[in-house]
Amino acid sequence: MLVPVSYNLRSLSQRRVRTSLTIVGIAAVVAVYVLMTSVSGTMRAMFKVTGQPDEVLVTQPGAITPEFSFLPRTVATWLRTLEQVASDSSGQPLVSPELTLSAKLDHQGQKRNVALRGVSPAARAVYRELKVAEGSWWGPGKKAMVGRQLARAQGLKLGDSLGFEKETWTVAGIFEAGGTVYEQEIWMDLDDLGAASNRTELTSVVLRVKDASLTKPTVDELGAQRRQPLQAQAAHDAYARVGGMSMWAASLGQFIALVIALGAIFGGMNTMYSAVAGRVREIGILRAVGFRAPAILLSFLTESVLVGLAGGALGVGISLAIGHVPLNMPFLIGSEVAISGRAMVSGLILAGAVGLLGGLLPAWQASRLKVVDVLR
Amino acid sequence: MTALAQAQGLLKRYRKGSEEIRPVNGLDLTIEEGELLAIRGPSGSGKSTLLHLLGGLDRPDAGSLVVAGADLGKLGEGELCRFRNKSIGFIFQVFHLVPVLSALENVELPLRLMSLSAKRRREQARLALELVGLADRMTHRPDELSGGQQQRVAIARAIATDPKLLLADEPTGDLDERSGDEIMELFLSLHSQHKKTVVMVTHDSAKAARATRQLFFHDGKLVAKDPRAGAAA
Amino acid sequence: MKTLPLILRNLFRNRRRSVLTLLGVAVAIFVYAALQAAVDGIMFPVRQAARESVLTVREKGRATVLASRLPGSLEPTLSSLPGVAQATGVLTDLTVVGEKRVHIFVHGIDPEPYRQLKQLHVPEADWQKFKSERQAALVGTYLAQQMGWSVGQTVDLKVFATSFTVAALLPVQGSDLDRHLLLHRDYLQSTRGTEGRVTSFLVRPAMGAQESEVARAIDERLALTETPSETASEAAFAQGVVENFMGFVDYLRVMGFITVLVTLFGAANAVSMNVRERIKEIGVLRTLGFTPGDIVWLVAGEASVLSVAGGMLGLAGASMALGGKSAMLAGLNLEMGTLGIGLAASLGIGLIGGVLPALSAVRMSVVDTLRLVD
Repeated sequence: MLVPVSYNLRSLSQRRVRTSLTIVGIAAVVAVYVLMTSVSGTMRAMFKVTGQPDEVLVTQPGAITPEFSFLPRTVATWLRTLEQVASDSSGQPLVSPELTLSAKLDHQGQKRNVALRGVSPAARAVYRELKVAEGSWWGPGKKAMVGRQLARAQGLKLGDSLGFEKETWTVAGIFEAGGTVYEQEIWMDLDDLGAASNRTELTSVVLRVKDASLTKPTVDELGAQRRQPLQAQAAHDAYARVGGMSMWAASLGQFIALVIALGAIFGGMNTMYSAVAGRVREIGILRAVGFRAPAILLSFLTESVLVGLAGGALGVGISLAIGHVPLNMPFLIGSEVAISGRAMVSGLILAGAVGLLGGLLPAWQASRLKVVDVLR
Repeated sequence: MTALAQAQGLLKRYRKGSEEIRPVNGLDLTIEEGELLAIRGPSGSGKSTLLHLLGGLDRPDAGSLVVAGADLGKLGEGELCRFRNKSIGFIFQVFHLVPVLSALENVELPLRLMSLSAKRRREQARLALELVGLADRMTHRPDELSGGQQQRVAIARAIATDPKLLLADEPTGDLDERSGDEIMELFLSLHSQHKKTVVMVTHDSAKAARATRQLFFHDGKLVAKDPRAGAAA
Repeated sequence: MKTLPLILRNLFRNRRRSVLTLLGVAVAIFVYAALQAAVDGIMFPVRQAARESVLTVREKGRATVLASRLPGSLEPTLSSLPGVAQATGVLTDLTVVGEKRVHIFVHGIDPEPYRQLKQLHVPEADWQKFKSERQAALVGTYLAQQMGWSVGQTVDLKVFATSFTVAALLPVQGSDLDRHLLLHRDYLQSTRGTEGRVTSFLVRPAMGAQESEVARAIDERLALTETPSETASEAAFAQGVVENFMGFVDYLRVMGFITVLVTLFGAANAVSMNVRERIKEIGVLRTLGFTPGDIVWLVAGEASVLSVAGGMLGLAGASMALGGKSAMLAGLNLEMGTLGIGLAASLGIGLIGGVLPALSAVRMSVVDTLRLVD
């Protein structure tokens, strides 16, 4: 026979201040945890889908991101002649010369950091995952295509004016790209961006090989050749690496939240021990009317877990209220991260675990009390 | 004889739900210096409330109350604390010793509030414990002492500051008969040999009879004769 | 003073609760100290640069500060501007090396002007060795220790497509240069394919020149060129680098704060339990003449002693874990100030966590506390 939960609820409401202090403490821990889990989760998801199996990213050796890479334009010309590069229907090789830069975006008086990508018309065929959702594909003339996630976060619409790289750009299109990092970027004509930023060279070249099985040989071949020092990577690997760098900060945050949770367990233990001490007589009566020791154990555990979960729910609420977190994570300029369902669930589990661990010893103690001692 | 305490038209009221109760209602009382006054009455009749008022733990709602030269209605919070420390010694039914402190340290507690050297403080506490016959139990903790011994420590604590007035609330109520009698003897000797003024609340008629004066609580006032005894007669 | 013995005695009253509270505070203060050490390690270059009056000229509007590129040919233009004593272009790049992913900042410098401007302390013989050879490197002492590089060794950083010979170690400067790598500018420009370009110019204003005036003059002069500039103090530049690569510094700070806050709640909770259990005893003390102030000190004092003890435990742990050489090389910087603030925070936790429950204890009238039944 189990002790009814209503009994626990009533005793919790009897020590309202202490219960709420415990709940708020757990909530703070959970809020940090949920936020950090969402950050790393969203990034992982975003970088995971970015980069196709037959896509190769070519940069300067040692550049930690394409932004630090400098390649002469002739590299793209030479790469177009490679045998293993795929072609589009009109026979044009799938090679995209690019200029990647971070800039300060000026929109309606608000400044934020944003990633820019200057591309040639070839990119249209190279990036098959990219779909124009609104407006039209760009061309020269200071026209910008904005990624869907960035447009949503910034409230950008077709025809809006954007200020960056000393110029004013018009939003000519909004594109979708299957949740990849591109959706956080602004794309425009390579020459427009090169002129505006005074960069005559490229930062990177993206190419598609004829078959995914050719990716590795191509990477090896480009790395080994002596014609021009190049660093070639399977695009998927490159993005995963960049994502990994960004995520370690978030993982650190998760780890710290777990350490704080340890402190919260000590606090929870204190509360539950006092709850047990304050109810010794009640426990005796419960035992006297026939409740068994495991039922008492379970009852106190339930109470502790309930407090934990209440804190967890509050913490999830707080993280949702903080809502979209603007991020300036390393190597990932100005992304937005949303709270994921998975992060919320794991936050609740963490809160429940804090309650469970904090309640375990006190509940055990309660269940070991001897009826005769208690009622004396 | 001079009056140590004087109450006139003393009134104390509480709100209990929507009902107002007046445990002390227009009470007049004069306590002479050196007397041992026993106050009797049924439980809940307001005896304890009167002790709290006399000891400056509670403030009267109306009437005047002067104890040991202090007009208690007019004292500020800080002055009341000093008054309790210097002029009053409380003794409770359930002893109320601090469980983590030894007998000696318990007795030292009120002395800590006075500007005494540590040596003087210890000496005075020792003296008080000797007076109550616990010279050999000074380092014991309350849980190592019997009920009677605990109450002796409590009495030593009450007299340590040499207060003008001892207020005892059912001091033998929680004790067996023998210990109770011993505590009563202690009060009698404090009164007769050390000239202490004692007000003791009790419903033990035998013990009350040994006081120099008995008063009875009735309708929030004190009367000289037991009203129930009168009704029974 | 009058309540101190009682405070100490009370600590041992509910030993389990005291230990749990102490451990909670210890964990929190440890976390705080660790986070602060990380923040201080990261922010070290910024604070260090703030002590020098050097301006940094970089490309305008570039969100990633180190991605800035300016024509090196601007050097004479800048040097000749009124208010400028000296200007030198520096190419700065960043590479990540090895299994431990050590981040190395590499500066391509024009040796002589750079040494003057940064006031480098290098033995003359070492300096000549570095200066005379194009592929020579001056390596920060801590970086050399971390990488295990020694003088005379030729290092081939394949991931960076650059090889160099360690000409000498840069003696400890007490600045971020102790973890950096200095190469000849023209050599780095050639290996990085950025001939003729630099990341920034370091500018020393002339004696008596107003820094902000000089900065404005430089930006005005370059406004209409192909590369408009953004001139700020070296500290602001360092801050920009930190924000680009260590954008989570603010998160560390917020988390340190939350940790202390959560502990505060825990401590307040533990103290309020103590108070509740001892409410009658508090009433008795008041009958003996203890004032509300005495009681507040008694309760808050107990909490503070406990909390400070926990704080010291946490700080001792932090000193052991983070005070060593390997932690220093890993970029953690545990400062005396952090220990002081940690101790103060633990005292604050005790005082604040103790005072509120203590106030609730004295708010109740003495008579009411005595009337409470067990």
